[in-house]
Amino acid sequence: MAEDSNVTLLNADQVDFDRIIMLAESEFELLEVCARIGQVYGVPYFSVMRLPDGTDEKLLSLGIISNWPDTLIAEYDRLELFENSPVIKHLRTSSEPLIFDIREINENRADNKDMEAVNLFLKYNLLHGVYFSVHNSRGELAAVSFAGPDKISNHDVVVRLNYFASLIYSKLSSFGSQDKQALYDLKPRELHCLQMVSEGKSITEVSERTGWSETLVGMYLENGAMKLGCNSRIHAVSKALRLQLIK
Amino acid sequence: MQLQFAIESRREAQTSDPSAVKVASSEAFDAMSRFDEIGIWRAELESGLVYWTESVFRIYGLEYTEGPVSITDAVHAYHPDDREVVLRCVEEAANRKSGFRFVLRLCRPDGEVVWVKSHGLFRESEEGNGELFGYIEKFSPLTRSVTIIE
Repeated sequence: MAEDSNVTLLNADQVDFDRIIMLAESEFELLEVCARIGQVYGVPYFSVMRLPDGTDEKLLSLGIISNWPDTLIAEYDRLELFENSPVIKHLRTSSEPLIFDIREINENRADNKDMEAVNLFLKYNLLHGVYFSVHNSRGELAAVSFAGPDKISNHDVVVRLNYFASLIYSKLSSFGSQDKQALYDLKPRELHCLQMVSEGKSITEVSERTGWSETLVGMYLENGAMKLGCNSRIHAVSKALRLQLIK
Repeated sequence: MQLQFAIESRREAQTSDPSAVKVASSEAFDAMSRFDEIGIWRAELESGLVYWTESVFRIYGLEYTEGPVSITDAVHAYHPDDREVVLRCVEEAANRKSGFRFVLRLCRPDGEVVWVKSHGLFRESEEGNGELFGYIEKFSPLTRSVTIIE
């Protein structure tokens, strides 16, 4: 069995993850936060998956966000380990956190695939971890997991990861319901200039088409970028597109 | 569909002299292109303009046009579920002067959905301006994925 994690709460205390999760604006940012949590707490693998119903047959179909290697997931499904997975069985029958040792939890599998399962996870150094059941305001159920090479024996770490898991799923469920345009207060001319640059127009072309001087166009673009909190036009155009402020 | 995420450090440029196997540097890229279509792209941070080689147009299933391309059209060519990831990669790389690698889905005008891998890195041009440059190629993955390069 692997040694206990030597990750201490001292490092973790220096990172305000709950605040960072709450400030995340997209699935992408949440992925990054999960990766950072993994680095700080010594649990490099994370996943958020919806809770399987009776019709699911493959692990791949459950993933919402994850950094598990695609080869691990593909091999897991090829070996048909899903149907008799002790983790899935636990998640279907209990909302208690599941702290697991990959060897112990795969003992006496109903499909006798103990060794196949253990060897697969050993190959990726995914030996210990924890699953938390979470839900959102729509009553949808999911499971958030953190895993890695070392045993998670520190109770405070488990409590914190559980807290983060709830925040992560709540945040993940909230995306798409915010009125983002009002947040940035971009004026029509600023948006128009950003739109034209996004269509491949240079400042000169924007100026010719709008009748505004190149200086004025530059100023609109600068203001737009500044309001979006961006330090370059490519950044501003990308963010405006992502927020659907321009189409 | 699941989106995998990773963070990794920027690698040093690999020193691999193709002349050791009697291949000129210019031929090396040509040779790669013969096995899989690879396109090169460049995005100027200050102007906000993006340029593609002809190969990128072919991968997108579009006719070649000279000059800057429409970022809007380029992003909308991706699968609706993947557009935000593409934009976020560009945003992060531009903001942090870093890079990215992603494997996502392109929806071509003929209706075909193709997987592509794109890798972008920040650099300073010869004129001292910041830009992102990288390549895009067709790919056959198992899942979507994205990697931030610090």
